[in-house]
Amino acid sequence: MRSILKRLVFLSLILLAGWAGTAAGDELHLSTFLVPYRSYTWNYWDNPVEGPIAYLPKRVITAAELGLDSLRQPRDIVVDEKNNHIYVVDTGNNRIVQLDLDWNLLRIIDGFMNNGTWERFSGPASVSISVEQDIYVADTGNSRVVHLGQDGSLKRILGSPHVGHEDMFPDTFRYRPFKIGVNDKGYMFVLSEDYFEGVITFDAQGIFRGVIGAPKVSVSPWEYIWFLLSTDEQKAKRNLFLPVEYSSFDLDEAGFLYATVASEEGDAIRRLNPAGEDSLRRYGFHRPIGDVRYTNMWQQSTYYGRSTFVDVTVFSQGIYSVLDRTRSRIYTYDDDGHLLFMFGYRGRAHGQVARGIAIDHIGLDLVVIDDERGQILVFEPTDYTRLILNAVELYNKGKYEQEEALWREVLKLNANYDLAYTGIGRSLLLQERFDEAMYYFKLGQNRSYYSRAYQEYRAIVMKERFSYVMTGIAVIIVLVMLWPWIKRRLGIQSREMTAAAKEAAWIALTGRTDFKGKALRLYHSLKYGLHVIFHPFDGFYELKYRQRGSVPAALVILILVTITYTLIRQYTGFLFNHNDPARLNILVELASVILPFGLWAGVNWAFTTLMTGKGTFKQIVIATAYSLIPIVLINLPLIVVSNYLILEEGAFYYLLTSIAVGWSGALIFIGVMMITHEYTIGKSIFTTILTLVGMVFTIFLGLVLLNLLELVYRFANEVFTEIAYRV
Amino acid sequence: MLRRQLFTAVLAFIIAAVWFGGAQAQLAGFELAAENEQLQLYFNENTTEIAVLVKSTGHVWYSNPADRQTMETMARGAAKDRLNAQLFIGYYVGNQYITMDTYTGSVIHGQHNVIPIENGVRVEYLIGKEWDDKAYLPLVISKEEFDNLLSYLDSDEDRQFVRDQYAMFTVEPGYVDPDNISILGVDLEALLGDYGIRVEEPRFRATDKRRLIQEYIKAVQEYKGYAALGGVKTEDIAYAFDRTTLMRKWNVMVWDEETLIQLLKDSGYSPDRVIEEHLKYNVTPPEKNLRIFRVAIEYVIDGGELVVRVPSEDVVYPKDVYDAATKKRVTYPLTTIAVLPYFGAANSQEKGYIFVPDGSGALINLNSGKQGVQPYRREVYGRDHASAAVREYSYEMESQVHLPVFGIKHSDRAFLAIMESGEAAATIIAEIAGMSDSYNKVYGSFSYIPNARVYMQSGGAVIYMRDLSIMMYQVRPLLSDIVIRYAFLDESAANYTGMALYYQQYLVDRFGLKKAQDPEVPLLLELIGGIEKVEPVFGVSQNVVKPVTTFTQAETVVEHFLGQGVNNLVVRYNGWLKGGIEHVFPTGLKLESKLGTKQELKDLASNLNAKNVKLYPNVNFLHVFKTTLFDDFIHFRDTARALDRRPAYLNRYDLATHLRIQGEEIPILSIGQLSRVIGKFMDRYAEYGIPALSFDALGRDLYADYKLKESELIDREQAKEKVVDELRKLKQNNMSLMLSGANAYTLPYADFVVEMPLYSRNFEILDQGVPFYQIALRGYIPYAGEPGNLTTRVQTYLLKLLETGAVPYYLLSYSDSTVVKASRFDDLYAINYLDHSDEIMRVYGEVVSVLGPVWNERITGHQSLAVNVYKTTYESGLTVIVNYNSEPVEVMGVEIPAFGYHVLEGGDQLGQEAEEKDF
Repeated sequence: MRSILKRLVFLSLILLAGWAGTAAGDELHLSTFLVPYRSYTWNYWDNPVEGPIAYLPKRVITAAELGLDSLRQPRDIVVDEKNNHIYVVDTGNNRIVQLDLDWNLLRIIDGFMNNGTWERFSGPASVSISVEQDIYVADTGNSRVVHLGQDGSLKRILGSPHVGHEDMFPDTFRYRPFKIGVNDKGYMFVLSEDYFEGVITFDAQGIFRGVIGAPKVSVSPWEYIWFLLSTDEQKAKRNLFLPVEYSSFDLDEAGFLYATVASEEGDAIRRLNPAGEDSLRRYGFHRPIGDVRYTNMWQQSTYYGRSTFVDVTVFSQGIYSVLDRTRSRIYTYDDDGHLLFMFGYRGRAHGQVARGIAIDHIGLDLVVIDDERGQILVFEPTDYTRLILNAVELYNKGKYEQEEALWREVLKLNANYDLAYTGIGRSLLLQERFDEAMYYFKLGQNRSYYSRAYQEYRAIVMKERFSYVMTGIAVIIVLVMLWPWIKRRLGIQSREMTAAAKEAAWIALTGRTDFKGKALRLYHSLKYGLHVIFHPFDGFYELKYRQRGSVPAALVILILVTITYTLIRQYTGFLFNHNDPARLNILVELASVILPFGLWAGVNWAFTTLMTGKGTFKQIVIATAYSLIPIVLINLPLIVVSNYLILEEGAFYYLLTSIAVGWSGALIFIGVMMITHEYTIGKSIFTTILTLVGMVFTIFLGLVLLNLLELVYRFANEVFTEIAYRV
Repeated sequence: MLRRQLFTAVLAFIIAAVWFGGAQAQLAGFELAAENEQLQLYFNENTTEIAVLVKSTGHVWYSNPADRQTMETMARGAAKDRLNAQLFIGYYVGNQYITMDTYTGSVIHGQHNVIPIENGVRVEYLIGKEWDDKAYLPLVISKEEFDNLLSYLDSDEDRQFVRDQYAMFTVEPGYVDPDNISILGVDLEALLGDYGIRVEEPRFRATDKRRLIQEYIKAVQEYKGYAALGGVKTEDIAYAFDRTTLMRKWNVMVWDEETLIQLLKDSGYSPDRVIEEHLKYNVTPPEKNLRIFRVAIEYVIDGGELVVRVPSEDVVYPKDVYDAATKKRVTYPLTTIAVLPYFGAANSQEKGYIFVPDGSGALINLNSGKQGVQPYRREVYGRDHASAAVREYSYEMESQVHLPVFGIKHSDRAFLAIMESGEAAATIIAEIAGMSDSYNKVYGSFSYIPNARVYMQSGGAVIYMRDLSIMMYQVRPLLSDIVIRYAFLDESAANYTGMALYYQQYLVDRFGLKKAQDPEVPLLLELIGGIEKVEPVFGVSQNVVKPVTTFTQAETVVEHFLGQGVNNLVVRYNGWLKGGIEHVFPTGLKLESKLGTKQELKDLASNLNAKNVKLYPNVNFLHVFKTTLFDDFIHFRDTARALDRRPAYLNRYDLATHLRIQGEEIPILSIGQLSRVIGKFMDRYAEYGIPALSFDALGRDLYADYKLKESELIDREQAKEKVVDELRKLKQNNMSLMLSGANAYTLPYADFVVEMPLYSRNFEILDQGVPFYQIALRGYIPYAGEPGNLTTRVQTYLLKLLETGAVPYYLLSYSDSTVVKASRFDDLYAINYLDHSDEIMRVYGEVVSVLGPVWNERITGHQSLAVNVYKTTYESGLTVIVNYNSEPVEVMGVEIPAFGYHVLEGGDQLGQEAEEKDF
């Protein structure tokens, strides 16, 4: 009886508060303010690219507008569209607020009748609605899940899963459920605070069914080595294998659990199947982690750190929106993991979210809970967004032609939209318009589809021009076969010389000091390189003892290597070229060849002089440079070839690049170590390793020195500015 | 609950009664200072408050709220006393900002001076207590001077009282004191030689005499800084020889001392004389307080307006004064002067709103209950880019205050303040009741000496934690006077529409704006000439210009729209100069060769002219994107100097991190060089025979050049004048000008305002944005907001055009939009003209059909009917109701579809009924 009275009093209080609230609360004219954020997607090269605004702020719903005295740190919102209900978990006020879809207050659930006594919630953090419209409340403070009927009557109370399964939980375990989800079959999924082993599940009967999604511990090899090296005490202190911490989840139509992870590393979102395995598709340019580039704490930005996902809502078609607490941004991904768009920003302006905690959707509108201000923000999609969502849906349904039309509309609104290019390309591919498809795939930076289109295109071209190609090959073969005959007919004298004659010519050449003589010598030195790479043993010997090589020739080779790398970056075929052409800089390329080369030569010389190596610095430089000739010889033709390969033939491409590197490496080993320094194999290997370690040390010392110089510079700069300001 | 309501009702009744009935009764303590046909100016000598009585309605406007004694429930003590002030000033001591006001700093010390002037009154304030109380008390004084002092006193009784607090002695030759006085540590004989000290004081015993002499010697010792009394030398006390001296008794009671101070303070005897005497006697003189400031304010009534002036030349602040305490020369820079902060302030019960010119204009509801949020604070004409570069992007940077106006609407009356001079240094501040006191107020605060905090930290990993900062100041103060004009609006004009229309009339009267005579609704197309893209050339990434719309293609686009039936086409051509949109420094006027030849551009101009299409080529003089060897740009000479003494620049910001992108700073041109640059440009531009120009930044960006030499310094107010001079010159050469953003001072020279804010910014304190700016210009200067194809609210662009009467504006290219992909201009992501042609013609067609008949008319009414539903009334009565909601709404019986509108011709019932809602 008393409790009923209490409820009555409470209800009237609420009514009064509501009256006062509506008197005070004025709805905002959001349409008269700027949109306080921008929308972008991340492109292939980790750059944010602006696009049309994806969602517009539609409404800000305050406690006053709902007719409530306050919303204190609300933590969850659940939209039950079928039954026209919204549930807001008003954690700070220990209650659940039930609204209809037009945001009219229906009732307040702050407790239930249990065996004749009125029990209240204590800091409830989450609510879930079953198909029968039963209400499941994660009653965090009371360590239980409360199952109520739609009428508010108690159906059951589910206590800690720990009871009866003590062995499965740590000794310190305390059941504090903060997230609850119920699927169609009545299975319950629960997250508990300070429990990192995964999602606790119960079956429809409320029987504990184990923990799923136990996160795989991700440890880098480096961390693992550290771990092995540390003492037992250190191991105990260093909690290296901190498991991931689920922050929230949402259930999709198929019963999959989309769970967000708030920890610092690893995947920020997972899609768990009933067995607890992650089946999220991650085929976008980047994994779905929110912002790809972000500031760190040293960069003095207002908000720093990577995106921290705190909640997710899944639309149909596997499209999901994730809420980032760090910057209150909302990222929407399709089922393949492509970032469709992002919008929102953190702040206190109208339409910004001061601190987001939960997200859900009504139709295509997104609703976000701002727990700092105790507000609910509603965002509505723009036409642009609707087009994209429709196009994705059509794709999933296999209606490619309609899809193409929509993507073309999207492109009219946003020429930066990579997915639209891919979408159009896909449709063109089906229509067998391969060259057009290639154009779109290239713009959309989609290499796998481009490869497919190109394969078809190449086949067609080859077929069309089969006769020309075959004729060409036949002609070349005939020419080669007839070459001696042609030569004779044309009276070309054979310039074949005996080895002795060659030797004599070379010696004669070394004597000349005029320009032509020098140029000729350079030419012959370079030409000799072709001999060296195939006959390294006597080749390098000749380089060293008979001056067949020269420093100018070595420099020419180095320059050729630089040019090769520059050309690789600029002209390698699209499928194998992952470089941003806007960032190409020949000086950087030059440095990336000259610096390692110089380091190698310098460090090697320094060690070998101590280790009775027979080579001089000059000889080391020459031998190393000649060893790099295969890189030039293989890569230059490969650039051309790469333009005619498809991804499946990539193995051939990568094999050749590897051969080039391996060949050069072997030449360096033989040329520098064995011939120039006259080492045995064992000593050669040892010295090579020593040189490599020495290079690492030199780089380290160089960085330290650079850092010091930077500090000195900064200090001087600071003193200077201070003097300038004070004077 | 009920009691509170009753109380409120009674209170409201009383207030109403006071306002409507007894204005005269409330003016107790005030005297009439000036009067004309429309206004009476009242002045209160004691508090230096003013009040203005509007004769036609009897409304009285107070400089300080008349009900502040009863209605101020929040502030106490000094904070409450501030409500009596007419000026707030702020100055710096090192890094500390200190505020003072005219009441607690001046009026209560009686340090003000009232001078009647023509049609008004002038008040001069000396802010800051000049003398400490003790400074009025001489410690040692000669007989003659003491008699002089006594003569200042009124009664013998007072004279006797003062005399009683002093003891007299004479240092005479050969005098030998019978009591044989000796002082520990002092060799009196050596000190005095032949002289002796005769103490002539009744009831003085030997110990008293000894104490008196000791106190005197001690005072000298302290002043001279000797270690002991014995250090005092004969020459130190030489002045007392052969002279009768009075010395303040050491045992004066506290209450007697207070009376003494009061007597001497009131007598008018100057502490300067005390200093003089003390110095003669080698006794520590009292010090004058260094932190004193002089400010004057003048109130004049001019027709129906009150003009308030703070003359800049009469402002005095301590500059390079000697501080005896620290033995250094110090300056206390007076950085801000806030004028009439409480003028027309509304108390915590009133209904109405504050108007601030944020973006298009915005309202702050009185007593909106948002005490917890930040007050409104915004610089007029935007940030001074030269002051200090901004490190991190924020959405607050997106719009700026273009008009130097603000106002308050109380239930049935309103004022509009127009800042006429000094506004380039102004910040508009608005607060609601409950923030710092119980009043809703809006006022201008002026930066008398612009200053900025400069950080000396470095971003290194080791010394990062140092976060030293220092305040840097402009080397001289503001030169122009601060002038604010208050206009009073009543009845139907007492709302934001009324304010806007008043401001419109002000512009027309002052600058002779001409009525618009557009034959038809214009369509503004901005064409993009070239953009830059980074591409590798021989292995090095280079900026390569990509043609987007060549000169001949521009004509194709124009033809296309003419063919669609647009009869009034205006074309803004951007990116035609060498380098594309971010062109090279334009003194040389080099065309972008990839777009075509000089002849082709000339042909384009003449062909468009023949077709009655107005062509505005766009140029940016202020932002120096790129320079070439021979364009006469010398970085250290031509770049504006920032307050941190380095070249000033603008930053670009990363879209995701919001941090500035290092290495992409854009220098800004010193306004001092503007005349030369424009002159050179115009010499060459004349060859093209195009009588029109469009400016990117000139109408929007206003910044100073903080050179260290006073002769080279250009403050913001002067920069404004220089920009106006240039615009005037161009106008005299019959150039037609299109200005971007457009600050108020450029409006007299603008033929078209583009990129005008259509929205307000989302400050939490703001409750609603209003199209104040649009109403003010409507019917005189055509204006356009943001391009419709790149706006953030594509669906509602048409509605915004209908609501505000803005010109449909589109930013287009001939090339496919894909051209911008992977370039720095990828924010122009939807610009192909064929992609948007249908949409443009649809929007344009609807604007023509709705607003065509009233195109040159003014807006006479604007109001909110429901949330996100607005009604605009044009001069001849045509009314448009727009609905920005994504659901249909029913307003007074008419259903308006989602994102739809409704047109009412002629007299509208709707508006009449809805009038009630608008306060």
